[in-house]
Amino acid sequence: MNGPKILWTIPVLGGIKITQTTLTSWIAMLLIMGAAWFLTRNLSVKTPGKRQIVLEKLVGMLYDLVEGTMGAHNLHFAPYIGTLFLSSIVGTLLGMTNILRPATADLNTTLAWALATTALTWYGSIKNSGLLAWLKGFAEPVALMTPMNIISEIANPISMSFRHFGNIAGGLVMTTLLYSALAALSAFVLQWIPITFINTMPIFQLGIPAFLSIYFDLFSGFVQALVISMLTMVYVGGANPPKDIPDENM
Amino acid sequence: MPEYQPFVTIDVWTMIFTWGNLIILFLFLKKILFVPLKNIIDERQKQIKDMYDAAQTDMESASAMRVEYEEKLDAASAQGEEIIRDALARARKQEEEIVREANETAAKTLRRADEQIEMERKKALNQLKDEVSGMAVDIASALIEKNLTEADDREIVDRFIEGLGE
Repeated sequence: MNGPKILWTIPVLGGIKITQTTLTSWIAMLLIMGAAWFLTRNLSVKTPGKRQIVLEKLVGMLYDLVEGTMGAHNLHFAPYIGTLFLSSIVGTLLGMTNILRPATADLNTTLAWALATTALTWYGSIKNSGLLAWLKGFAEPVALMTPMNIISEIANPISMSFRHFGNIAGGLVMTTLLYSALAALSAFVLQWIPITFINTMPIFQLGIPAFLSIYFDLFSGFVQALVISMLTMVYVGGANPPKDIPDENM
Repeated sequence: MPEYQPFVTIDVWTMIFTWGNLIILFLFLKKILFVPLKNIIDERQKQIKDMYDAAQTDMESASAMRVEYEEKLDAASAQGEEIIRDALARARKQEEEIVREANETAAKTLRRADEQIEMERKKALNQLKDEVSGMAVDIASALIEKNLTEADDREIVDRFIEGLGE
């Protein structure tokens, strides 16, 4: 089982490799942009069309979720959470084409997103409590816990990225295994036909993988997109507590 | 033979592209999708709230006006009743006066009529006396065929008539 195929290598800075992952995430980005542009034409307050009603419902759900998880004071994070969710789910679902490799089946994609979450969390903590207070927070509740806290801080992005990557890449491995197993089964069943064109035809690959795909691509893709968005909301929301409620430790 | 990356590897350029895509997509979606839609949702909610507020204000002022009008209506009907009562009282008083005046006039007229009747009666009686006395003189003179002076006769007859009248 290989990682993403290297499509081109740009011969600058020691060779920038453009992989299938990068291609998929570009296509995902363009698709989302195109859809967003198409769906948001002719927006109206008084006479919304069907498109706008559905879109408003979805965006409203996003804002409600962000408000429920992070609080109303963190509502400005909603566009970022929405972007992350859309990038994840479209990047995963594009793998269903079997032409593109899912962008989320590459650790670099999910790790980049997880590190972005960590960066936002640290930035929020430092901005809200100051650098010293943030560093002092690692030694709480007792100084003995400092190594544990540091490990936990580092473990967050790793666990986030490997969870997402593992689910999608695992699905990819399972699908690939199923395809080769079905091809072998087809070859075994059709070997008595003496025509090469027919006895090499992997007929069992038709339709059957679709059922597995419902779980590994649709369900898992949706759940993982939701999980990485929820975790981002929880971590960033935790780093940006409501201002009017005084900290109990102070 | 195409070149593949290992299944699990760290490739900084892929991560940089991912970050770049994430930032570009974030800025694009924020400007095109999320903020405009959120603004529309908020604007609509604000309009609905304004409408409700306006309706509430209208309702309150309407009910205040109703109370005011009801008060005015009550006052007007009370005033009307008073006017009617006054008018009735005045009419009754006037009626009484008219009846009283009529009664007085009738009584006066009746009294005058009585007086006149009495006077007429007396006059008639006097006339009758004169005539009877004349007739009596005639009869007496015819009866006694005695020539008396008319003055003497008349005195006798008058005394006679006087005696008759009592």
